[in-house]
Amino acid sequence: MKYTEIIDKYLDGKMTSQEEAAFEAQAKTDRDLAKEIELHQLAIVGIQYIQETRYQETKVRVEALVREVEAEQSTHLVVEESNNDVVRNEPKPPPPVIPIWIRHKLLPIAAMLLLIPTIYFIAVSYSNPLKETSVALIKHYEGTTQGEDNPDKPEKTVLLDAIDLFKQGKYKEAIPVFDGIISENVADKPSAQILKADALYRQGKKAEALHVLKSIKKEDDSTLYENVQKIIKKME
Amino acid sequence: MDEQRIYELLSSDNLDKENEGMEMLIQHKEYLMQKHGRQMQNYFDEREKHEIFIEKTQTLLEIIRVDNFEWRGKSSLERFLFTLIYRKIQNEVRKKRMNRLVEITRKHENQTSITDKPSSEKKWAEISRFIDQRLGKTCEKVLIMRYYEGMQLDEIAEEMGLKYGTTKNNSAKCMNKLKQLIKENPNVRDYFRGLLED
Repeated sequence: MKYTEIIDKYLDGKMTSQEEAAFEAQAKTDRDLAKEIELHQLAIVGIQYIQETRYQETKVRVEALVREVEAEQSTHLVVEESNNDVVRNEPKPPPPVIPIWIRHKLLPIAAMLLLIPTIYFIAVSYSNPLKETSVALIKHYEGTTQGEDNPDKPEKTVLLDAIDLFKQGKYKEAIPVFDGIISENVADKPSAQILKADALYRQGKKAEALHVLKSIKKEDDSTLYENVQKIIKKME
Repeated sequence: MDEQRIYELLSSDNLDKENEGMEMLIQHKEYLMQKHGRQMQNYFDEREKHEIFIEKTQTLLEIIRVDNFEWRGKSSLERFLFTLIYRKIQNEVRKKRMNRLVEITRKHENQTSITDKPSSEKKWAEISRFIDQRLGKTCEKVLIMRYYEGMQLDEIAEEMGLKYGTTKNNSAKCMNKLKQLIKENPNVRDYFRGLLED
């Protein structure tokens, strides 16, 4: 049996314990086998990198096109509204459709995405490992403070101010506001720490972002803590 | 496990409902993980098991969010999650075993001489194009299924509509072809070694 198949058999755990011991003993002394093992490892790393890179490139292209579509749709909406101002009695026109040229551009890419097996459609995470958690937190705070059964609290308002700055991309200005919440508001401290870390990360300050994430304590919020440990692992 | 209810919650486009669905899934962690018994016991500690489970339930949620999951009645969610976890485990086990093997061979010469690290996108584009051209689409597809997605040979055979023996031969031939490319091209070899160091 050739090296490739033997190595795969070992990696798949399909050898008997005797075969496994013999193979490991051979790997210790057989230089050719050792070189093959290294090549095998490099080939696996290479193929994984090829696919992950391809996935990221496709994702960026699709996101760019989706932005184009959204921009195009909002242009249609503006035209539609101004027309409605002039001729109010006419029946409402149908909702804006995606222009054909954009649809044609989207289709092959959508098809490419479908070819990527579903299992890895999302498995390769977004380039910013904090993004998803931050979006969820922002949704949460914006949702809870707007609810009727959640009277405005001063702390929430400060946090929402910081979130507004964050959403506008004013990370430098948002960070001191997050710092204020971290030192004064126990309830929102872990959320503010995560958002501060994201603001740092988006400015390219990965090490500082990691430092902030590592300062989050389990006792402050065990659910967020679990999530943060996963983010740290991705970032390291 | 009320799969249909969980699926409805996860596909609701409502954060609170999604959270509720995730919580319901997490309550069934032990039940869902015990199906992977032996390999789990041998290779993963409790923390790792938990991380795999959480990662794959989140993957499931994302797949549902982009409408890439088709509800096909009872057990479909459970089977899908089982496959996600199973393939993750296969990949992780292979990674652990490969690390062990590399550790064993470390005393040999020329094993860790990193001469180059991934440097530029341009360089990667050249290497990627070179591999694309030399490896061919079919080989690339087989290798991605085998070594990226963690699929077993029988699964690949089914996916490609080929016999098990043919798939096994093809997979080995393609892997050998890639290894030969790496062996003969120092640029590719050094770039991939750099990836290992990252």
